[in-house]
Amino acid sequence: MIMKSKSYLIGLLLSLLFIASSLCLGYLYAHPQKRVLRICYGEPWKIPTEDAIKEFKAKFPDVEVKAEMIPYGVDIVAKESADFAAGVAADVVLVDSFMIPEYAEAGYLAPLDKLVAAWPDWKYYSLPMRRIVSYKGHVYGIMFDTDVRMIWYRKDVFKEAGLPVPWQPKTWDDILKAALTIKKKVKGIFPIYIPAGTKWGEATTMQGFYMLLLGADKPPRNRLYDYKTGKWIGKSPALLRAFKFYYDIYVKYKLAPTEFNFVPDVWGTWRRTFGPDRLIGMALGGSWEWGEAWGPKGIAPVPDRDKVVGFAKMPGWSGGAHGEPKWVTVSGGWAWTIYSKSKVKDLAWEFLKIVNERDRVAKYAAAFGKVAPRLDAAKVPEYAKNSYLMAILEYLKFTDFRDAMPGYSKVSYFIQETTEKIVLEGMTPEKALDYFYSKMVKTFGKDKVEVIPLGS
Amino acid sequence: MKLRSSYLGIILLLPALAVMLAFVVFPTIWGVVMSMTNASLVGIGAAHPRFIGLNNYISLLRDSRFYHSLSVTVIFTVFSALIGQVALGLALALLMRRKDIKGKSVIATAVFISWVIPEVVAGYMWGSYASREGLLNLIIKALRLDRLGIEPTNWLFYKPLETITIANVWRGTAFSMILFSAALESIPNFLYEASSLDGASSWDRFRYITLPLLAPAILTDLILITIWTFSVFTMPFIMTGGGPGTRSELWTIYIYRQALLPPYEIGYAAAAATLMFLFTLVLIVAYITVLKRGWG
Repeated sequence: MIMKSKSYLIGLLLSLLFIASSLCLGYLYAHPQKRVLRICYGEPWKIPTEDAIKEFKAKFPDVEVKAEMIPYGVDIVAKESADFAAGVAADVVLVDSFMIPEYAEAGYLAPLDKLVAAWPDWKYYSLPMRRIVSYKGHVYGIMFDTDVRMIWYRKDVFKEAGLPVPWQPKTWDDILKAALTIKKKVKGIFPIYIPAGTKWGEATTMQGFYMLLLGADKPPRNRLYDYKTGKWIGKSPALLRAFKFYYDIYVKYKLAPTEFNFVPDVWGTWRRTFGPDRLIGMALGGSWEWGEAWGPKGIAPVPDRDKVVGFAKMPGWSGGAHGEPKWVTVSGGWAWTIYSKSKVKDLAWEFLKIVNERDRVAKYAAAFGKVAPRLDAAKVPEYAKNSYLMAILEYLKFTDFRDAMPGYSKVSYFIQETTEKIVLEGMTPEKALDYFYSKMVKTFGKDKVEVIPLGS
Repeated sequence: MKLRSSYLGIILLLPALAVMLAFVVFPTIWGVVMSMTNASLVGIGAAHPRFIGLNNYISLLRDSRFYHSLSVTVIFTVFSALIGQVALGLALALLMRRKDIKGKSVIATAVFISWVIPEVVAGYMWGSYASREGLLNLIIKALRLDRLGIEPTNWLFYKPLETITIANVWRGTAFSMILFSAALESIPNFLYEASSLDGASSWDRFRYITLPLLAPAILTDLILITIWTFSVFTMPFIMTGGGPGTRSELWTIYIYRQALLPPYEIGYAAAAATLMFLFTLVLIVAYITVLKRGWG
């Protein structure tokens, strides 16, 4: 009897000890003795971030820094959104700037107004760069890089098709004609590629759709949001024109590779097939591809890139003849933010100041073919000497931005879904417009979605 | 005395119970609670979620995409779990018992490797294997299978559901094989000897001895495989992501896309997950009832 009650007691103690120690370890893990700064960023920004971390560690040796890099292939926006929602986001997060309004509205980001006001470097950030990171009058981030978009084309394919090099189309018809010429003259090549569908995510909307929409009608009818009325635009001649272009190249003339939009790795496939594999004649893409994809240290390096890869400005549909912009490009970019629930906001701000130093931003931009968001980047020789960056400087003169109002990510998703219907099911532009409108109304309500009459 | 030892048992189980409560029971309850709100990952729905009762369920039952994912999942499960893994697992287990098959260790190794490779790796492997320039098409070309009407193509684009089904059979058969091997071992040999003395053919032996005695194992396997296949996510997500469009959108992928891609609607996804939970529960009860009655 005594034996049994002894083992009863031992068992009880062991169990309680086990549970207690688990709880203690858990608590200690969540509340470390040393100050810890967690930094979350995507792999494309690995080099400048790790460089900045080294500098930070030298300046603050007592702080433990945890670098949380999101590798290529992982959906950075989905991961960061999930982390924010679960309350486990890092102290410093490098976010895709279009999410800032929605993150701010959800209360995930710490306002930086007072901090940037006291920061001498803030004056080098132009008004557009400040607008992107602001929401309802407060600043929530610092832009690290920005970009533009253009028509990439293979000079070798164009030469083979007898098309002029260098090439600069003035209307959408010019583009279509060139693509049809390539189809006739060069075998085994997809003449043109524009991202479509939901697998590409935001890239469909930015590199694909906005590049068409912004040049499809007179401003402000060429947008997704009406800033005067505060409503989303669900039906318009511009939307129809943009959907029609997708229809023409994917369905009517079959000039574009539908399949590439649905492979497991859409980015890798696109970079490879345009670059080393030479399977695409021309495409709409971002300015970063020059360095990040096809450069010597890129993901899919093209050996004689300078000779073989060309870029041209995207024209408005009739080259400006009907009041639409003559040239179109759109800029996005990634911004450093501080998590609202961070317990080390002071350290986070110190890191932000270090990572956004002029030389670091300019050198990173120069190496990867990105556009620096700071006006004083031109003072840094690596940036000023970069002929590619100097060539695309003029794009900044006519660049535009997406309508990143709260709810934008849903609108963008509907655009992606609609293009998906067009390329997969051959949906006509008119039906596609109705489909898009019905989704908008279902989500936002009829009174929040505007119609610009067709034929007006 | 009996009472004391059962107390001891319960106490020793406490840690495991705590883990179960924290990681299984609580999330399930929390999921049901969330399914009645408009909680979202970002935006207003994240900062101030509102209680909306059964609205999510009503929208779900009106959503054709929800029913589509249900039918895709059912087709996937029937072909992959029932026809694929159980039948193939049984066949392989029977094969392994024969003494005259050469290369048994090669087959066993191949089956196990498919099971232990991490799902993400396996997903990308299949992504490469089934691509236009992949090994599968090379094999098809080499064996001139176009004579049988099998053309090399981009399998993940043109036949997404078929490809993920076969990939899942490839991956999951090992479990059934092991289960059936163990069950077969337990069938006493003298039954087979006695039956062959009576002049039974090998098909008779299978039908009248093996199958009835394997019935409990088959039932167990069916239940487990069905539950698991119903919740398969990683490999198909990597291979096709539910696409193209929604052609291979399993229930799990549908839920993921509702929650972690725009529209980021966690509440809605939680409702779908709860329905999936109930559906699986009903299936299991049905299994047990029907098969228990059948095999007596």
